[in-house]
Amino acid sequence: MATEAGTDPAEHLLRVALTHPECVGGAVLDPEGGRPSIRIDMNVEMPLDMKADGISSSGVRTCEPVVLKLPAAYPWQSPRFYLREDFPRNFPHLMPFAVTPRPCLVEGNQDEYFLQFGLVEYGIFHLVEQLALWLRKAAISDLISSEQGWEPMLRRDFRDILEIDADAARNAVTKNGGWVVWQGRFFRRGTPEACLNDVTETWISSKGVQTPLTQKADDKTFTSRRADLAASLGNTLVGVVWPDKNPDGAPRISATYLPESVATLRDLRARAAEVGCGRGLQAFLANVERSFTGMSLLAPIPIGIVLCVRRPIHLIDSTSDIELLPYVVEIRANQNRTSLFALGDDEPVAPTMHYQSLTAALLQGLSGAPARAGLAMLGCGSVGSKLAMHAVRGGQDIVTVSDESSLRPHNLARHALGAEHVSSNKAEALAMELVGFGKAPTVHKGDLSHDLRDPEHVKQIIPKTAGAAINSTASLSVREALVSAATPRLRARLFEAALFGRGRGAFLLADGKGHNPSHCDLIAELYATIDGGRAAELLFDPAGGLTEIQIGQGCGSLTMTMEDARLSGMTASLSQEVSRALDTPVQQGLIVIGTADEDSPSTCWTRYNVPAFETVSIAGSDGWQLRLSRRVADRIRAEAKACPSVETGGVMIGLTSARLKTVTVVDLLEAPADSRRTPALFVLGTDGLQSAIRNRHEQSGRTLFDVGTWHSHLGDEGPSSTDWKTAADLAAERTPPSILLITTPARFHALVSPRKDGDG
Amino acid sequence: MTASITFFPVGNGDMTLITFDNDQKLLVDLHVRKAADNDDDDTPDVMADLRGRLTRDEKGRLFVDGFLLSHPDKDHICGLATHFHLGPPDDWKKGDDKILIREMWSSPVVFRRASKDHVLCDDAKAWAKEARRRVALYREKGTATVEGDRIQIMGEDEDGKTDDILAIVVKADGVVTKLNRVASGTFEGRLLAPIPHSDDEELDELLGKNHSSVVLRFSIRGGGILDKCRFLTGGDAEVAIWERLWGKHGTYQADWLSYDILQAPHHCSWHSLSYDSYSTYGEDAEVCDAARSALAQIRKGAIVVASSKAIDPDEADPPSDRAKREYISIVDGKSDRFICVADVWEDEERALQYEITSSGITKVVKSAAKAAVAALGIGATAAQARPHG
Repeated sequence: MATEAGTDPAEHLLRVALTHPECVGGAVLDPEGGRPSIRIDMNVEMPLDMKADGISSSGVRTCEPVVLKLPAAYPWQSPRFYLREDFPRNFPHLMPFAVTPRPCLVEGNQDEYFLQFGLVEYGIFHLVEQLALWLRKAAISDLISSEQGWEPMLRRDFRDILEIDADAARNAVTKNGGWVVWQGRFFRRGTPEACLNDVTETWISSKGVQTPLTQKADDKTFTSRRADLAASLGNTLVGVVWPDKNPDGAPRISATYLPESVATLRDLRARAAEVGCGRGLQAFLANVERSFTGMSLLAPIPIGIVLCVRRPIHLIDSTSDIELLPYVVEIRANQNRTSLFALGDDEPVAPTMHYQSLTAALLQGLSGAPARAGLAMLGCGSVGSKLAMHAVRGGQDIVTVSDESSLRPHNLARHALGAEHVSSNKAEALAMELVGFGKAPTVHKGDLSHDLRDPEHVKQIIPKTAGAAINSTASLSVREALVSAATPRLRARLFEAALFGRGRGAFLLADGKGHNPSHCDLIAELYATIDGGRAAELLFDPAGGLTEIQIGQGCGSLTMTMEDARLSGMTASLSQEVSRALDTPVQQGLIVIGTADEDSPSTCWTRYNVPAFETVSIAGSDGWQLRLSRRVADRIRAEAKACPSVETGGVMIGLTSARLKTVTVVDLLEAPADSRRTPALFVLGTDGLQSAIRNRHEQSGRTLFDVGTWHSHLGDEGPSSTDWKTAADLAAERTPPSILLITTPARFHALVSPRKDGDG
Repeated sequence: MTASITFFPVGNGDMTLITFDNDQKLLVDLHVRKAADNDDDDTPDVMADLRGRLTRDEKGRLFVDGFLLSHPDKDHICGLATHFHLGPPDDWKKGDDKILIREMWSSPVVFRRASKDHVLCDDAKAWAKEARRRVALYREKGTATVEGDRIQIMGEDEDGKTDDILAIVVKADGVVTKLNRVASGTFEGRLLAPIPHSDDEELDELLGKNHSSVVLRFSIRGGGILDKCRFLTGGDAEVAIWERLWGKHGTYQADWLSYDILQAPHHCSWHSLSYDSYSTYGEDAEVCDAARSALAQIRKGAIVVASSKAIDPDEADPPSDRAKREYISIVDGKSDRFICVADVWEDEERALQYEITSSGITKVVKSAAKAAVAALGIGATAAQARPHG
């Protein structure tokens, strides 16, 4: 046990303690229960006026004796510190119930603190330092720092538990004193004869639903059934009591720190009276008693009691000045009873720990996340389910979940849900999981690529309550359908999240203000701007690129190998990016792309902001639209401006969607060398043009192609007869629509030759 | 910000930093011995300590909000030119990295010419020159002066040289409440001396050179609460000054002299308490009752701090063991309420510091981390990152 061979551990402990500058003396004591112990004398610096008295205003002496006992497991456990028995008790950070007061020296577990120091001596020294600090603070009652807030009573070692929403209890508090009764559930471990504070353990939870205290024939307010020989569960209540106001009408404030010392009903009544809750508690207990008149119930039933105590300052880590003091007491409605409390005022009452109920605020608090608008999940596959779980664990609401497929056994390789959900619809299964988090998402089981094109369905899939919708279907048709659904009326910000390259790559698209740029614009922009690096390699890899992103759809997915950890890692980052985007005001569109190294855990993430695309109606078509990336539009204007005396032009590169009737331009090719530029005419040459277009197509992973030409007009005239003729010639030469874009000093014009077959 | 008073270990000399609870800092006197600037010497490196306690302004300059010079003796001003920027603030050089004095607090002695009775060391001359520069600037620009050009004069000049600049003069018995033009209630300083010109020539003669020592009684706010600490500091003021102060205030405003912390005048010299030479009279030397009364207006738990070398009965005065015993008798006979700055250095290797909070005045304890290194012979903290499950 000793750290030095042959050294008595007590002597060693004393010697090390004495190296601390505030440790001014001490002695080895006679072993107590076979355990070595020592006394150390601690100098306590305190204000000069108190020092002159040798004792502080709070009752701490300038020299305090402290006993250190070595536990059996020392040095695997920390020495235990005990103050003198008459040490003042009205401090926080004193262990409750300790007959000999024990200071709570460190935030957290003292053994853990002690063990973090490899050297036992260093650990002892630091504990003595914590003790010195504790005593100095105690001397000036500074253990509660008004800046930090009121330190709630130490309750962490209690075995009984009350699980309620603290905010709900605080919200019940009114200016006038009072009490309210909530429905609750209990779990009780221990035989019916066992008592609180002895062997019985209880856990009471309440969702804060108010209930009247009346007992009817079929009343289910109190029930109890045996879970096994030594455990029972059932319905019960929780009484929330708050203080009466002072006679002068001012709120009742309890400014004195009291350690938790309640052990009986008598103590509880006294404590309630001290904090102004005496009348309320009395009324609550009397009403419980009355509601049982003429009734009997064999099993003991634990009921919860919460005293809401108003403090002079806000509590630590809270904006509220209401401290909750929860207790449990058991009622026994025996037939020949005189009271529900068998032992009268001696009935045991156990102070309990308070567990915060699962609320959005709790999850936000633990996540350090702000309150965020609810999500509509489009796709509940492995990526979608994980994004949903990340969001809900951060306190975010999930308002709808949509997926038409069922959870199949192979999905379990990467899905967030467990095996019990196999064969259920994925959206239904996810919704069920979310119910446990207090959520009630609407389930949509239809085909998204179809239903998103129906405005009535869109209202269900992305309701007004959704602040954002995430498409994780990895489906091109759902992407286009979602873009078609993105009318100005749809307020939610739209996201698309997907993995590619066997999970080595991932991207997130977030559309801009007014859904411009759209997801289709963004993906085109991504193709056009991605350089030849790792992302391009993964994105355009024929084996695992975007063509294979349909994880979870179709039979091909069975062959897509990827570890759950890999998918989770990438999806977790996507989730954080969604949150980040939601926390910043929307102006531009956003592309986030991440790529992981092949052989190392490094992952590189990049964000691109994409300004709104410029749109031009295409003359000669039936409602087609040309969409120009801001980059391209600026380049066209700059090139036209650079040729003020002659017309100039070039080739436009991009994508075409027949379903959305859009031509999206994200790049330009320069005019070939044999092009002619005159004040009234621009003739696009042909030298090397074919191969340039082909190269560009290859470079973009065969996604982008030529979508038309552009040229400048020196004046503000629109298309000339020559332009219309050229358009007609182009249309005759190829099937895809070929657009003529004309830039004039004032604006863009776009035209296409009307197709003879009327296709536009 | 926690208000505090720090006494630096400078042997027989004064160097005290008052930090107010708005984080403004006032340095009272300076005594940086040559050896203190020598890394190879054991003399405490008080300048490194001081600099570590100061902050830099937006131009990267270390600064004190104020510098009070009690009187221009070497043991109160030594090191000024080496460590502090003198001259227009715009001339401050990064390479020199000297400390900017935002506002000087000077006695009017700077207006007096050097004479046989008024010999000045180089640093004192530099102080006087800088003070005159600032006064001239005030005459020219009035209150438009910037930080680094400002000055307040503690007391009126006897020859009327301050008559035209009374707005920056604190008169005897008056109070100073602004530091670098900031008046936020963090302190109030009662100017008790220098005492204005007296018709009593004999007395003036007797008061001699230390006539010019500034005696200030600060009332300092702690943790937002006024008057949590009273600090009486009087440079090298001698028995005649204290006797006169008691005569002047003892009957009606003795409270002006009351303190929680007294800086024993003249490094615990016997001559602040008695007219009798201790070397001549030994234990028969008599304490001047009036002077003692002036120095005995203690508040509960008050302490006396001797900014001196270690007190040895066999060594020459100051510091005086006889004076020490007298001060102990003043603080209720409690020897632990008389603290010699040199002893603190000897025991703890650090400056003596008291924090002033809403609870009162508390001695700052020795840094345990430093103690651990010394006591256990090991280095930095062994704390490991602790995972959360």
